[in-house]
Amino acid sequence: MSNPAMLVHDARLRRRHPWRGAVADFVRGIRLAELWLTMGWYDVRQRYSRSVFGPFWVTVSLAVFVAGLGITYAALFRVPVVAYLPYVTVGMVLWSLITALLNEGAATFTGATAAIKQMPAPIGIHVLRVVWRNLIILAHNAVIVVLVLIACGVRPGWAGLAAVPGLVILLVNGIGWSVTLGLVGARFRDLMPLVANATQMLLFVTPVLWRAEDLGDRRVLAQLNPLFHLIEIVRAPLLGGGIPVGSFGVALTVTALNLGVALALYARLRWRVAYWL
Amino acid sequence: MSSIRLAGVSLQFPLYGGSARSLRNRIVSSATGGRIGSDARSRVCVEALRNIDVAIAHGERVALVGHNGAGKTTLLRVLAGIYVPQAGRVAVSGKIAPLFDIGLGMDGEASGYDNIRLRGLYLGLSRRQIESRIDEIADFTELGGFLDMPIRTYSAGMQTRLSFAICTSVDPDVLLLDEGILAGDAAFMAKAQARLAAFVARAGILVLASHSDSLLASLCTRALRLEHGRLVADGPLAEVLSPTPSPSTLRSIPA
Repeated sequence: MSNPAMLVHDARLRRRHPWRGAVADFVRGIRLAELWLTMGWYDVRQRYSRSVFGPFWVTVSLAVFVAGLGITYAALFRVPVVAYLPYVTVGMVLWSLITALLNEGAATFTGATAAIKQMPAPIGIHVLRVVWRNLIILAHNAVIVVLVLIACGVRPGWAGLAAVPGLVILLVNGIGWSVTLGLVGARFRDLMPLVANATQMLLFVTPVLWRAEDLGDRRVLAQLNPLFHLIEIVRAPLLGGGIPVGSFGVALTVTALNLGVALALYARLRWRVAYWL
Repeated sequence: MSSIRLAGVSLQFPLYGGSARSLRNRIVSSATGGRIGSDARSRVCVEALRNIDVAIAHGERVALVGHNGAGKTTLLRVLAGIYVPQAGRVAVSGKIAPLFDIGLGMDGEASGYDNIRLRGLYLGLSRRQIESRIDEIADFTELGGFLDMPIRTYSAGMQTRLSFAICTSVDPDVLLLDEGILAGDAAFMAKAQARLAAFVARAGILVLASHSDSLLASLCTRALRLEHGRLVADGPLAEVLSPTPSPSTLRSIPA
């Protein structure tokens, strides 16, 4: 039975050992997999309820966006469309995943107010639900990636499998973002518009529409951007660029820091969320 | 064996005004040093519960009474584990099923059946357990074909039927009900009361917040009266409900 038969809240114990129980609480949330998998699935379904295409609207809008961008920007950068289109397609699919994780991450708990105030459960389930529903959306977008890669003759080979651990690292970061931004966003309601603003700006400073090499001797601008490495660990293997070892190293470091911050906040603030909503 | 034990439980809600809630205030106040800093830091708090000591044993049926805003719902949420108190200790053993607000926590676009699944999962059932009980739950609601429709099309009474049916079908040990839940039509009320009586006969713990004396009288034996977050009376239902409680029979609680 996933429901604990015993509920104990002791204010003094909690104050003395804020860390104890934080990991256990989150793991208890993970083990409620049936619940958050169902919630995430219903979220996607609800977003597109009564529409004919359903979640494939995501696919369609991305296809239109990438097609327009691929043709225009290939001309702008004076590169062949078959070289640019796969790059921008994979990049935009990953970018829309990242922005969704950041933006929806900031609303993780405020968006689940009703559930949190009605039903006792580790609040981590809402974090997992946000990441899971964006994985579902990603799966709808993956159709385009496959089509474009085939059409443009990109053969990633066995090294392409490195994109799988790359994607896992990216999603784990999504969990960290969702915890951190969700907790802070529940207390400070300015965070959501702030994140929305920041992600808009970040698209233009992160190599998604253009390549890091285009920066020339100022490549460091891309190298210092953690989002570049998180994208690169999935994108490079898929585009036949082999395994970007350096980016994997940076990405893993970023992940460790991200999870450290998330755990510290989860340990100290998770029980306050119900008060803030 | 189910039991509830609260020792010295206190709980305050911080009140964040429109401006106090924003980051700007924090930044501005820290930038200007101590002058208005202390102003911004001293938060306004509402004391929702103060130093509550209660022990509820296996098989007790407890009524929570008190005026609006006395802390009844807050206390129920503490018992459910939703609010973690700032002071004191809460220990509840047994499987808890809370039912606070009929519509909330439900997905308006999802069908009645899907909401049964969602709420069942929340209450700790597995998908398989839910599927094995779903017909029984559906029968109890008497909603028939409506269960295939999105619940945003339901009336309040229909939502009550649905959420009540789910919450009471998970075999809880501790059932927490808030006022307004038993607001269905007369036929459903009778059915709901019969189900609650059966639950109570199985010697689970029932905690029910309500303003309806007749409802409380039919289900509860003990009552707790809250006033401004303090427990002011605890005793047999009839005595706590009577307008002039005799001090000799009531265990008086020092504030």
